[in-house]
Amino acid sequence: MLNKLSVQNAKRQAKEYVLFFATMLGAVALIYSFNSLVFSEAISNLMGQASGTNYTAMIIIAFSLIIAFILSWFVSYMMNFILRKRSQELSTYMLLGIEKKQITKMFLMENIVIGTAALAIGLLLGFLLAEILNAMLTGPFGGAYSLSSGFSLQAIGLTLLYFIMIYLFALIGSRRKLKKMQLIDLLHYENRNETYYIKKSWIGNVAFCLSIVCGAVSLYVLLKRPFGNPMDGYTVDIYIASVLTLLCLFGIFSGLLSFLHNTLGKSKRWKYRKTNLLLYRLFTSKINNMGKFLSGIATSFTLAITVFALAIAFSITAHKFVELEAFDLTILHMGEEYDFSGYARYIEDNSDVEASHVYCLYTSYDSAFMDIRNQTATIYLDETDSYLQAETYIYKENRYDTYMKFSDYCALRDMLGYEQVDMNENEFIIHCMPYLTESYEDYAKNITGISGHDLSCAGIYTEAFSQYRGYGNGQEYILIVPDGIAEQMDVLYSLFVANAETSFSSGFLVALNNGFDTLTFLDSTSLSSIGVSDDSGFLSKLSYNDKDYISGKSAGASSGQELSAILPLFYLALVLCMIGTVILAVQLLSENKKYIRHYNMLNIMGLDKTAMEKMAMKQMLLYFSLPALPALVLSAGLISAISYLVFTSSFHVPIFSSIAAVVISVVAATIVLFLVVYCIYGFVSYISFKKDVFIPFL
Amino acid sequence: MILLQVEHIEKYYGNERNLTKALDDISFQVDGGEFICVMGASGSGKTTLLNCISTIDTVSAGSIFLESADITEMPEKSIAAFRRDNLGFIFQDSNLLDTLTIEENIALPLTIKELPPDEVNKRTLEIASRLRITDTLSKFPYEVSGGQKQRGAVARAVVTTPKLIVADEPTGALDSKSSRVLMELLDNLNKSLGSTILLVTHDPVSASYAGRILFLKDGKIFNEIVKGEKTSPAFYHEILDVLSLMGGDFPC
Repeated sequence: MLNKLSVQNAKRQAKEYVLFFATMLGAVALIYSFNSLVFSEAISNLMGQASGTNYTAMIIIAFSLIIAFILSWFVSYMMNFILRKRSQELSTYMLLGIEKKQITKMFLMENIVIGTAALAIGLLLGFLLAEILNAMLTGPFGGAYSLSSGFSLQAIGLTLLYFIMIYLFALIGSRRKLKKMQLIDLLHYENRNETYYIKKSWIGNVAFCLSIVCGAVSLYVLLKRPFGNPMDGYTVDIYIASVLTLLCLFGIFSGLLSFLHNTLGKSKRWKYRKTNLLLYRLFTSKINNMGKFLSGIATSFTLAITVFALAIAFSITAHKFVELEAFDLTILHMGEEYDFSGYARYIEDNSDVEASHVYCLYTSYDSAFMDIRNQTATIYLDETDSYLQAETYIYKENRYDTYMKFSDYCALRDMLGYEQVDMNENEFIIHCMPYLTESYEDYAKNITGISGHDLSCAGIYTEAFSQYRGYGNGQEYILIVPDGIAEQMDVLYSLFVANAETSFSSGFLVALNNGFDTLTFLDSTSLSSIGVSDDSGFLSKLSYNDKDYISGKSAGASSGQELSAILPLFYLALVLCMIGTVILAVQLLSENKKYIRHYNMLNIMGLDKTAMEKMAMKQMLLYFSLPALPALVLSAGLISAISYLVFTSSFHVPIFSSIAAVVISVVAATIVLFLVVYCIYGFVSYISFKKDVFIPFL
Repeated sequence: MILLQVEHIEKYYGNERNLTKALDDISFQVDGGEFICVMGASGSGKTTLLNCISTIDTVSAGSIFLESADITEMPEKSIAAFRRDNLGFIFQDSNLLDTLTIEENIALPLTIKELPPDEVNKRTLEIASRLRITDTLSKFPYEVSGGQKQRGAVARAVVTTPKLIVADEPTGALDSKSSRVLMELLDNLNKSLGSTILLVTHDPVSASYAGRILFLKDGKIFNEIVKGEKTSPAFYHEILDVLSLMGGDFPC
């Protein structure tokens, strides 16, 4: 009998508490999708080829453990909410003589039924989400993307484990609460915490002013960075600003109440105008009861927005790295013209290679163009307060001007699908990164020749050409000269470049590397990705004299490294955002009875439907903008500072035409995305609020 | 002058198979400045009658005129405005809003009427002083006693000087002393300000303050008595006589 009652209640509860059910679904789907990513072949290949170890998986597992902990707190909160909602019903059971033990069992049974349903449907949703994420993440990074063939058993196992952990934690909490509870507590449970208390002291005013000051100082510190040191990436400033932001969020809501109470609340002229009185009281009673609660939500929004923006910034950086690499695969042989046919045969036999080319880069040991590059880069490094010197960030092999034959240039342009260019025998071409265009234009106008030859500039081109971070086609620039002139110079290094139809799989690259003793990855260790300094004071990534080096889009380390940060960050942002909004909506729902009473009275006193709807709209606007407003202002500061640092520390030369524009676009994109999601959520809450509150008496 | 005219009103609940007649052909008139009471046992239809008169509920048949306006024909849109401009409500459990102070609760209907803030303040303080609740103005409803709450509710009902004050069991939740204070207050308002009051109660003591009493039984008017020149105790006994005639289960 009790079981039947329990199942019926669970059904009804699922209908009544759609929000709770949807949240559980979301939680399961998120956990499953990210777990399945950890175990997906495509992702693990992408990671593995980049770093040699699957440390993204470990980071994600660590993150998901933290998130499981947050979710378990959240599930407890929701169960508590349901307990509160149904306290009257449970107390009636007790009054009718059903034992507390049985009621506890019934309540737990219901939650288990709901939980199991959420788990089953959530896994299906998670499967879909995982496929979408998989496609989204592996696509742009040139990894070997393939739809996974079905459910990942390991991911299901891990999800089950987390879910059981989360649910057990919440159930034990509820059980303890129910066990301790007396009939009198249950009868009054819904009215608990409804006591109204106003701080009349000046402390509130001071707290409010202080939190505003904290927020303002935090924004100042983030934008001006007065304490930090460029060497450590301004961490001191970011720490100080983060603490100030938290202090601001902590004090602002409790302070706001006293402030409003002491200013607007005392002005009858303001208070008695139109609907001000009711809104003011709904507003202040809310802050009063939930000052800390709103602070918590605002903090979780601030964190979510910041973390989300950080993920976007990392994602932009990672995409940029991939974009700058023009070729899927590059093999470099140092110092001489080299026969790559051994590698080429292997590559042709074992991959879907589309086009390849072998060529040399030359040098004449002069550095006129390198000097211009250094001057331009110095201006940028000064502007961004970088501790680096333009000269120190040149690899040994690229310290002189680098040249390429025009015939090779044409072949490479053809291979990359760029438009063909013309050049006469007495001309040269500059192919450089966009930031150098202006400097070289000015310089090229005033010279009559280069490297002792009478040549004039036929044009400057700036398409992606594997010029960033050296060891490709020059360091940020290359000079294209007639073949005859290049042949008179010394060979700097020879290159084999290849593009595949899709991309080279990580398995293939590893096999290639293992198949030849003479091959190694250019960025195989973290040390070599930075470079080691030699006697001449220049850095070099080439640690072995007898090896050839693999690099290129498919073998890029940075995409993997950035990706390892992006995934958990998106994960965390999603969870934080979800929890914040759901708790906000749940809190609103839990006060429905109070609002029904309020609006009912207003209707009886003669406030018409339109006026009431207008008021409800205003109330919802205030309710939803209250925690979001400080979160948006403060996180906008945090985002702009952090994304600026990410961009300037990731690239040592100006990659973006305007770094401020990119930062602004990150801030705008994040805030707009957040606002869109938040507004949809707010609107849905408003509709359900209107339905719940107005329908009983209209 | 006739303020309220109720003509042959009927109110049914339920469906064709299971029909409950809550009000059965009720007609009566109320003059301006009159203090009228409706008495009856639980389920006799007195609250339904009050709800119909105060536009909270609709009638199944019949008409109700307040002055010349038929409120049963009034479009839904103008009903809220009608209540705002013509009626004042007093409920059993005061129904003051928890989040507002007593003063703000009294000011609320005036702000709904969108009177200028200075006028709102002036009228709120005036009525509070008249009802002698000035000392509780800054308190919240949960901080004052039931009797004080009810006086606050009365102040809220009369502050707009409505044409008709409807009171549904206003003393239902009060002890006998607080009930007496409240009823004297209503009596005083009726006499000094000429307010028209429609009181619904099953308490004979409270009813004895009214000038006329309608007795409802099974949705019909069973009897009607007028106080006239009688003293309150005499009138009280007359009420008890009618009640015993009705065979109701009323307290003595």
